[in-house]
Amino acid sequence: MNTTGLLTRLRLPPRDSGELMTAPTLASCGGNPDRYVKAMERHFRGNMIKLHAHMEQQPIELQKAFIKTFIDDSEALRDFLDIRNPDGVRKKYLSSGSSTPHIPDVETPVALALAATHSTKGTRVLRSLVRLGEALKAHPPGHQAAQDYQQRVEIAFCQLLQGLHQLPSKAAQQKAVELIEKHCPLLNPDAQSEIASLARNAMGSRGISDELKTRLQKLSESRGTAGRGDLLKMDGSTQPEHADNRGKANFAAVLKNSAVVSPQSKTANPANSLDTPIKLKTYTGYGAVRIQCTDYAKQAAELLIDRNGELDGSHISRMLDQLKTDKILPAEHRRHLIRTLDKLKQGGELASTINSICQDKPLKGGAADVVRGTLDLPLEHAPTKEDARKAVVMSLLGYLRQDKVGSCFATAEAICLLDSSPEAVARDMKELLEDHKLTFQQDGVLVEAPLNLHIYEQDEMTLRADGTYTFSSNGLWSKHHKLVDSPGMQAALNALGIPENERHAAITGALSQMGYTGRDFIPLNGNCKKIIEHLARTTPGTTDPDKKLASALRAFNGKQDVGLLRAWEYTLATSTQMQGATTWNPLQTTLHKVIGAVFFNGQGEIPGRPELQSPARKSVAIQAQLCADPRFKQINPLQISQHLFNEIGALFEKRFVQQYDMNINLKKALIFDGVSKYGGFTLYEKIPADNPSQWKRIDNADAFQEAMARLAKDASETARTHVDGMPGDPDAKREALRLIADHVMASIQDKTFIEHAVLQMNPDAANQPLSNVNQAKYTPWQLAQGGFPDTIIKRYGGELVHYENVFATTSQNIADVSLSGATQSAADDMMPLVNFFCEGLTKKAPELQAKAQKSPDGFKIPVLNNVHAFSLMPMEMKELWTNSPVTPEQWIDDNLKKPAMQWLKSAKVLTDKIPAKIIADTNWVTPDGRSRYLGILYNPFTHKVEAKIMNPDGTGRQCIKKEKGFVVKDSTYEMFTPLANKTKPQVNNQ
Amino acid sequence: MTTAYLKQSDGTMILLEMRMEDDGQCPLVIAAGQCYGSMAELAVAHPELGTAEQLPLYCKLTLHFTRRSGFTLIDDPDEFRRRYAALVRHGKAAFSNSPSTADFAPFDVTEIASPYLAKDSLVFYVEDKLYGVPYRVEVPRPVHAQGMVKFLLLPRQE
Repeated sequence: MNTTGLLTRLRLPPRDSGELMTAPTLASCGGNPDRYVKAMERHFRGNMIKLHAHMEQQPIELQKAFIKTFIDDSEALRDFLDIRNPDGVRKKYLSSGSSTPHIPDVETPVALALAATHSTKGTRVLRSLVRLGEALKAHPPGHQAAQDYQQRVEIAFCQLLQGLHQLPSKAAQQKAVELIEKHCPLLNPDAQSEIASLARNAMGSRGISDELKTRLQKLSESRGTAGRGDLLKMDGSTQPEHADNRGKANFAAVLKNSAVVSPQSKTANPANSLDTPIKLKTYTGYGAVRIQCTDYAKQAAELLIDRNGELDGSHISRMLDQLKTDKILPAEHRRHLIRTLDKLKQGGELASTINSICQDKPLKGGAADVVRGTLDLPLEHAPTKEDARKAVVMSLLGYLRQDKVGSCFATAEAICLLDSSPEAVARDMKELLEDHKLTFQQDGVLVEAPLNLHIYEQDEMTLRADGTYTFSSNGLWSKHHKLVDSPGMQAALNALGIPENERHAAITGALSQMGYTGRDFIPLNGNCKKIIEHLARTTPGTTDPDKKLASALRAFNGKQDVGLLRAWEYTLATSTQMQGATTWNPLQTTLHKVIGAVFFNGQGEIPGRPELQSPARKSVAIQAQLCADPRFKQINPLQISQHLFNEIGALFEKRFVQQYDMNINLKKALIFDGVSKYGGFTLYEKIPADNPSQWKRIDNADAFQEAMARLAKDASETARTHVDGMPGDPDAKREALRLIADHVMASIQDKTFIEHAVLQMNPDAANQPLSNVNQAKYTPWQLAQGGFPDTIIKRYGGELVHYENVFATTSQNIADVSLSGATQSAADDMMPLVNFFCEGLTKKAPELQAKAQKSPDGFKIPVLNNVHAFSLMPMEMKELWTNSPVTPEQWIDDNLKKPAMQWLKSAKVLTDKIPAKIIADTNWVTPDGRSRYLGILYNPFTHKVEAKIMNPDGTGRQCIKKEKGFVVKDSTYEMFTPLANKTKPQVNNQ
Repeated sequence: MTTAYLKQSDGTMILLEMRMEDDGQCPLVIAAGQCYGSMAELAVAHPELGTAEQLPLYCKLTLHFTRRSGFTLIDDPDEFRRRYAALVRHGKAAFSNSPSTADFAPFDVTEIASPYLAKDSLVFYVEDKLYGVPYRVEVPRPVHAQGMVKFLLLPRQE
């Protein structure tokens, strides 16, 4: 089996090579693979992502030795690859006396196939295959199986065929082929073709018997026997390119080495007949779902705004009919579209708001840019009111999900508003387009938040220098797509004037000029933007590269996303960050926690760490000494000390800024944001203040210590002016200031300063040993946080959506990540969280009932924990808040326990078939754009309520421990429920 | 907690401690052992805060009482204008994928000045700490006057 890039196809691309310099080598381990594996595990402290990225860069032979040994010996890697440890799993899940104790907790057939093809132990291989056979027998991959399950079976078969010649016995090879022969006809035609192709390849492998070759030959000729017509018949669908098959091709060649299947299927949607108002193409590749949804919204906006710029509802009935039959868009988005189109059809406030947009205020400046970008209009086009209204309608029909930006605190509210209060969103957009701002008015303060024109680069595709890319979705790597085929890239290259037949060469040429060649991964973030930027600046004949670049980026973004919708969401996000109206303010936190507490206000003691000498205690002692010193009797040393503190604080605010960096990897920490792993604020030292390109990034302890020393030194200089103005002997004052400043400088340079400062920011962890300060949850130089939604939620408080903080739970159970970064145990019992939701919903029954009357087909409410903001779906738990509500215990019994026990009686092979109840929208998407929801289930083996991240149809489940947005231990959950027609009084704090 | 000194009419200084209690929801100022929960209370107890000399301190205290710690007083208008123009011209943040000053509409910063008393309000200018966006702040006067404290964006440069 060719293992080139094997690890890559399984998991993450390399992110950094920070450990390369010090990582153990096979040679340093005496050439012993077992020792090497153990040494590597130790070196990377169990961080499989880093280890994996490191191994990616090793020679193929080493990779082979590594993965074989690791699959057999490393529980951590097996876990990382979803190949569960048989012994551990047996203890965890199975009751005694099970007839199938080996590899019992199989979440995917892929895991079994991997276990079979990567293990060197013959008995384990055969057992895995037998187990796979049992799994397939219990859950045939036929037409009734979920799409996601079909994909997994297909990938498993691809894996088996690719690794067939490496299976350690003929019995194992025969068993593998037997399984494929038996179940392949149940797969869809495309999958069969893929498998047939791989079967043909396998025939040519060494070590395949003649008998097997004959069987593989038959397999290779049986491609598509079910036929498209058969599939349609089985599906009962009238559409050959049914939405549920949309993502299939992404995974078909996931384990193929160099398969490049046409990445963009332009098969016409049969619903695109003459009488269907919207003609949609089917895409595959990165962000496919989002691109389709954007395409829909754009076409719909064109139909819904007439030539006079008025809302025209005459097409809406046909659009609704089409949405009911045409399944090309995701079901959850279709529900949103139907709901919004219904509201548009009704006219009322929503229609009148849209029809008033830019009536008297023409589009200008940044707002005009946003509209141009949203509608992909040329730069020279001056957007009109019609364009503005189209952009608003497009936004209302847009598919808003949280991408790789840590804006969940804003996105969760934005999604809830877009879902149930399009009127409020339309009003916001009117204000944004006409006045370039959103007005926040609460607690006696009015704040105008400026329109945020920033577009985050958020592609997470893994690009190669040959112009192809892959991406990971639900833990599986896609096949390689050509970047040139992505709609966004096509639009950008078109805007740059590059002829169609030269575009692929232009991309590879650009990458080559940027220094990337061969098949190496490219460590770029925001790949597409960088390529477009390069091409805009280097394409011959370009007279105004900036203009070209702006145009190309606008075209690119216009295909990927609804620009105005993103601008609104980001404006909400930055507005709350800018105001700092809540406790959240990273700079203030650093200032107070470090400078104030450590040096001046005497609160610098760390509970449980008496060995750490508190600089604050020393400060008090020095101040006392100075006061007792006869030289300083005529002056006030305390006041001098205070002046120095004030100067340090003032200079700190001027000199430092925290910039949002969505690439901060927060695996180390409990707190993270975005799609869970990235995002936070990093400190920058603004010297010189007017040139950000020279600002120094402070992202480690040493840099912070140096920056603080510079700050203290400079502040003591400026403090001298104030001190000179004080009464008393000038020499004595200066001498006192010098002594105090020397103490501060010495404290900063002391080796305990950093530990002390970090512990100040992590008081809960004060009793833990701090082996590596850079691994701490919070550091003064890097805060792994996005923001808080209070300001946004309050903004809509008196209007259509009113939220009230119900209550917050406190620490419950389940360990997670310690200060040192070591994972202690998985989050597995979600009962406290479910109880919290039940209690909260029960308490707010009248408000929820009122809300349900307005939105009978469902609504969402924001929920916030100290990790992530997401959207609870109360209608999924409506039995708790109806007129005759059930108790939480009864609800859990009826909705989780009983279905699980019923499942246990019928089948207990695949735990991903345990009936689950979806209760919340995580607001996240897979890289191809599919939504991810939060589901809960009762595990009859463990008798615990577990939570999983899953697709809306319940497939594609991922353990919560891998996406830590929903931990319970040490988490605070806040639920915001709608209140009917209640207006909060405005209080003037003055 | 941040601190500042208030020069009293007799020339002595008293320390003002600006604290945020109740998980950041309740701003307080402690001066000479007394605790004040609003600007009005503090201004009545220390009328010298109303003098022209103390306007910058009054502005900082207003930011504190309105819980707008994300903003900082522009105390050198010319320096700010130069810096703002340079940042807008520069166009990028220190971290390339973070919003920059230029990502918010360019504003006309001509009117920025030191704090001053208008007919029925105190006017001063602040910038937000993250992105350097300038604001005009209007605080109703006298201190007991009803009305909102307004953080208004400056006119856009067209």
